[in-house]
Amino acid sequence: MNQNLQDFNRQKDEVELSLARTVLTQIEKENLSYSESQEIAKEILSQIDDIKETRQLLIFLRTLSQRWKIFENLFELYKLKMNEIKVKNEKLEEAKEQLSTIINN
Amino acid sequence: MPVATPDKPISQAELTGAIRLAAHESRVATKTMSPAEKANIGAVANFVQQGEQRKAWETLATGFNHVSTWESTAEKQVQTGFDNNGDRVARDASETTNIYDVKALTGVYMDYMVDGYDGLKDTPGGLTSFQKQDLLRDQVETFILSNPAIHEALKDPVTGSLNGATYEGILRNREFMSRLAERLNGVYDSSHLPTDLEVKLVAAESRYQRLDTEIKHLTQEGTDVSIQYKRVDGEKKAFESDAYASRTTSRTTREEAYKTLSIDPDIQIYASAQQRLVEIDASIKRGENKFSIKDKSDAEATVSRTRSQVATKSPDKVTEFDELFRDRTAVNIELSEISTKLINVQRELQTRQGEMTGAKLEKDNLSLQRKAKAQEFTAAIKDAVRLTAQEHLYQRAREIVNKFPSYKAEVEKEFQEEVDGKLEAHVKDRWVTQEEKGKLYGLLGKETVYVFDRNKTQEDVDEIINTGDVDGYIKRVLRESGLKIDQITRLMQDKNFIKAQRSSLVTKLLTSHVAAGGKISEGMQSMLRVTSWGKEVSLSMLNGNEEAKKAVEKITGKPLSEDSLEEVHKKRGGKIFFMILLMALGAASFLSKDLK
Repeated sequence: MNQNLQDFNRQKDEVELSLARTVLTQIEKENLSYSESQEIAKEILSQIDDIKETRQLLIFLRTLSQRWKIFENLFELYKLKMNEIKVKNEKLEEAKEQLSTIINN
Repeated sequence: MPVATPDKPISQAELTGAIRLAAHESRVATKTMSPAEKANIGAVANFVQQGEQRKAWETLATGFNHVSTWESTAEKQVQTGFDNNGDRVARDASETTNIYDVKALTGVYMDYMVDGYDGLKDTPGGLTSFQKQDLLRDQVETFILSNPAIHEALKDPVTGSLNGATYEGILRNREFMSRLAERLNGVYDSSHLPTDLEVKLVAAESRYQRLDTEIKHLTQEGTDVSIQYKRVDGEKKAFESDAYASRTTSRTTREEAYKTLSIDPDIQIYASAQQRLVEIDASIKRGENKFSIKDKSDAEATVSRTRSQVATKSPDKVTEFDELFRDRTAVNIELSEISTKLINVQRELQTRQGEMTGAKLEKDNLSLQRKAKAQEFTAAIKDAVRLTAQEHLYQRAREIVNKFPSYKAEVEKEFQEEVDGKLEAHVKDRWVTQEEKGKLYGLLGKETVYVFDRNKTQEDVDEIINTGDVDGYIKRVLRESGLKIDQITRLMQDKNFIKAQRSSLVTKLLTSHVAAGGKISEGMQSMLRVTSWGKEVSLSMLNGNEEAKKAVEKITGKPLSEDSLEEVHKKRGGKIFFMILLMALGAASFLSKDLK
């Protein structure tokens, strides 16, 4: 298994765990009924196996957050995290280009 | 009991909206879990703690999900009944089923009235609390599914399916329980199984059973008598046809020998006397009044006398005749008696069978009455929940519809004031920072002043440029302004609000940014020209500055429109475009002076 896939799977596990914790917390706070939580579980089980990349995970979270507002914060957090990673990667690429220019000159 | 309907006609739209509100209230009331559900959540929490998310979801999705298990055999669920494993079993519309239904439903409703939906307990050897809850939910579901308007109003707006929480919300509602109790009392008073019908049915069944037993006995007796008849009839036939060596005649059967002797001139008188005596005996035995006792004694005397007369003359013939007459008479008398007995048995059997047909008709009739009554009762009990749910929801709809106009206006007004207030307060602080400044060159001490903070405005401008998602930006501002998530969700669904905010919020941001000394980057300029939200913002800004508007209209030669800035850019290039943009924003660049 390559590094990227391992990273993604770890990320997916973390998201799934956060989703479960959110459900339990909201049930405890009585913001979520048992029936609704069952529907959430069914929805997650029906989709989670098909998620193979970051973009799909983000779309999945957005869909969940649109249907159940309890996941909105999780979606926003994840979106920010993804953005951070994107910016870091861009800066890394930029630095590589600059380094390459310096070396070649 | 008639179903309560609203006092005044309710339009479909009003009903839908009102029931949605009622359903929402019901959903809100469904957060309390039953002990079993709590136990299941505990199991889910354990899996989560162990990092076993998959098992957690599976446990949550399937645990105690008896409803979905039964859904797979939905047809079977139509009739009530549970087998030993707790699963429902199919039952036809037999009498037993109806009685079972009555008992099951009555018990469940009684428990429900006493313990409430969440307090239902397992009945030892009977239904579990889940089964009881399901029975109740089934009734509410049946009602909702059979009513398209209410089904439409109650279904989940996203998934389009009915939510179990909806039924539970209704069943947990105290007002609903009270209405149901009232209705059930009416059902019990009017539809219970009448005692006299039960008594009559038991008596009819008992009579039917008795007749059945009697008929069996008579049938057996008839069989026995028939066997006897056959035996004696065989003896008679043997008398008539078996080989016989007559001592006084040339005949070869006893019957022939008897007939020959009975007309023999030597003993004919004696034979006739014997025959007459037999006829008299038989007649008397049958109870006829044809012959008297004297006739019999006279006949006996005649027999005695004639025998003495013929005995001396033809003793052998008399002796043989006596033997043959005795045997023949014995067989005939026995056969006659058996025939009479057989006829009597058959006659009795026919009578009993006739009675049994009547008894069966009566029993079946009573049984049908009882079945119909049981069905009526079952239907009435089942209908009780459905009708009460309907009554309950219509009542709620009426209440809501009646107060809806003023209620809606009031709620809307409060909401708008809250949104405007929070947003205005937040935006005022969002891009500014506090600074200490000396009054009159420091001679009069220091004062706090508020100035636009370029770093803060730049952050927001960058977010819009980087994401291109101005609606997402608006949503973030709304959230950070302190509005609640459900309020934000509602605002984000309001197209007019979003359109207004795109112009208002982005314009404020850009003017604040310029006022703070920030630059409008090429990326932002491009967005303002090309994107649909950018065009909206530009148009709003230009409309707010007469000088800029005139300049644009002069360059394009057309009235101001969303495409004007792009046209200016094409005709005069980026520099002119940028100047016009700054001009449009310049009107607001003095805002900093007003900040306190």
